[in-house]
Amino acid sequence: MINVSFWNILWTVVNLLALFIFFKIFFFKPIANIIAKRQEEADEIFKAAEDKEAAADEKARQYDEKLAEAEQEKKEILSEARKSADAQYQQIINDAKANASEIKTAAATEANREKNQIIASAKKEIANIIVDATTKVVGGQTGAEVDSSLFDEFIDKAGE
Amino acid sequence: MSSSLAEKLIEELNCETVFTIHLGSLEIPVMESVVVTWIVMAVLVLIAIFLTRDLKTQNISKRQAFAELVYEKLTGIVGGMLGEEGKIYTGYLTTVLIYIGLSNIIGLFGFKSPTKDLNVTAALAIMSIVLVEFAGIYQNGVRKWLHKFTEPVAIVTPFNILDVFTRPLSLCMRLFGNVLGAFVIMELLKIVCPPVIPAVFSLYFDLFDGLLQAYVFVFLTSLYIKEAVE
Repeated sequence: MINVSFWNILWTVVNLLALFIFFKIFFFKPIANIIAKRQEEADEIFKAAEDKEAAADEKARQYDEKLAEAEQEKKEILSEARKSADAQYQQIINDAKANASEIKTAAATEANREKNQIIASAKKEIANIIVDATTKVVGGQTGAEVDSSLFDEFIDKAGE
Repeated sequence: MSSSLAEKLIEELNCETVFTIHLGSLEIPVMESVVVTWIVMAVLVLIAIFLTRDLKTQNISKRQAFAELVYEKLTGIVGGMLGEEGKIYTGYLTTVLIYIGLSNIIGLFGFKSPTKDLNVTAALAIMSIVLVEFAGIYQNGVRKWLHKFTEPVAIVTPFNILDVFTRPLSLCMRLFGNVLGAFVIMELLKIVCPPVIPAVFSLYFDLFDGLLQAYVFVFLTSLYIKEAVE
């Protein structure tokens, strides 16, 4: 019971060390390894999920960018169209204006011409009438020069 | 009656030499406690091998879940007591915890507890103090380790040196005394009032006290280590 035996102590020390080594090999190491391995796997899965999330974010960002681009393009096209429509409108208006003024000018010229023509022909007619009348009144004694002076006189008086 | 009881107790307490190994002129006795230790070791190693067969990382079996639980709990308890700097000694102290625990309760299965042999507890205590001093030297170097004997004031140096001897002595005697005391009380109870009351007390003395003493031993050792590596 209480007799100290060197061999017994030595045996126990050896036994304990042996048990420690056995436990290390058969219990601590395998379980620690498997736990570390599981941690590693979990980390990997976590990392993969993170990567996927980052990729999804990147894609969403790209889509947003594209959408913004499309929006911008749409705006540009619209403004371009508006600009060209404006230009065309202006062009048409201008054309119409030019046309109208041309027509107006032509009409005025024509009217003027016609008026002059009418006036000229009226003059001629009136002169003829007067000549006729005068001839009739005066008779055929007076020469042509007299006629003409008479006519001019008449015209002048009539013009006053 | 009393003499036969005493004889029985002494017979139970005596650690007999089971066989002797002859190594040349050297005679190495193998005592009962050593043989029982071998049995304890065999049981523990077989359980360990059984528990750690085909370990997986996913879809683990109940066996593996239990093994991991035991591992996590035990190393958690011991590692927690040792602190961050003493973590490397977790393996050894966990082994000691399991060994003393099973040794203390193996009496329930009809074996003589190895811890009832003073030599076993002495060996455990010697290894503990060697580990404590080794940890101190390993962590701080010889100079600082020597200097620690004079801390906190120089006058306590003799007591600190004495500590190196009293600590293992108290560890050894505490474990031995508890196991011996529990055993003697149980034997007396078995004789005085069989059969129900001893069963109840056996729960305390054989199971609870046995495991508690294992814990106390490891707790104190880790406390000393923690102090040494600081």
